[in-house]
Amino acid sequence: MLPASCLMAIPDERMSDDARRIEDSRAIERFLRAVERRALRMAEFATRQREDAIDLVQDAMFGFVRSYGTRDAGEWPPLFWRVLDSRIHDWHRRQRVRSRWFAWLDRDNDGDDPIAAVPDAREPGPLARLADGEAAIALDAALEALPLRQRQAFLLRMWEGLDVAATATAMRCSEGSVKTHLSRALANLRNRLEAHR
Amino acid sequence: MTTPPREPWLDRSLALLDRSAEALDAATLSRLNRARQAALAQARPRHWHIGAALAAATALALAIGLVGRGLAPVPAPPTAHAVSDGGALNALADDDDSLELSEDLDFYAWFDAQQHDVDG
Repeated sequence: MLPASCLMAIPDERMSDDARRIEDSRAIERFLRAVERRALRMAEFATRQREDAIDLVQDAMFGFVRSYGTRDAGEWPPLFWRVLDSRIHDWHRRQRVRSRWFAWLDRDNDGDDPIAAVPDAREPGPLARLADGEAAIALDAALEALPLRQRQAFLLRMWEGLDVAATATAMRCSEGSVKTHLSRALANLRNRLEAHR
Repeated sequence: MTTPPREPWLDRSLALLDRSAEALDAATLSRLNRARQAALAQARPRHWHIGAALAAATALALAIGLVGRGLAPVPAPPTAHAVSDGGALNALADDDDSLELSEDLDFYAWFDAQQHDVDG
């Protein structure tokens, strides 16, 4: 009979592959758990709707796991934000198309105004429920007023803490563009928020 | 690479953002958890795929076997012709006078049985 140490040493390729896959899956789960709240807030700033924001984050999780789950864990942060950023842009593109259709319908129906009949789906901003009241509402309004690229640059670079190169990867643009967007975002936010103390 | 200077308004803003991320309600966190688990299900080992493939292959083999048996020629069930005496029928069929009678196979079957009873 073989000693236990020999039995343990018998290689089992399939088992080791499975064990590695499970470990990878756990690592991805830890990563997603760490970023999902901020991802939801970022999507909420972009959409102003909780439901759409959750859908975007879920889509981003699916896309990230499918496309980049096998990459080295060190590469994950900019890739995850890249997927989410892409989903956010897709959402805005769909909204633009939809609003064009509504505008076209509105032109054809002079008497009725379907847009006026549709309830406003926008919700209070993600910061509106915070106890800080005025400061939170001011930040919410300031972020909403930023163009999408500036807001993304600010959130990814300053809040999420990505460096310039990783932010450029996430936003699918050059590092110079990131610096430009961020500089403008900081200037706009400073103008609006410096007075709030 | 230089980090932009952290001004007070910026520190306050980032702190507010952090708190907003921490302040998510339980229902939203639950939905995020479900979304995460669904996404991760793609990456987990898929032994069930192997099981499903084996089950499908077995079902296919069974289906092919059953269809094959269904297509094979099946022996016809015995009829009145089979139990009657072929030789006697042929002889009767050759006889023009008895041609009409040869069509009444039930009668000949009964007649044959009667004969066996008498002989027996």
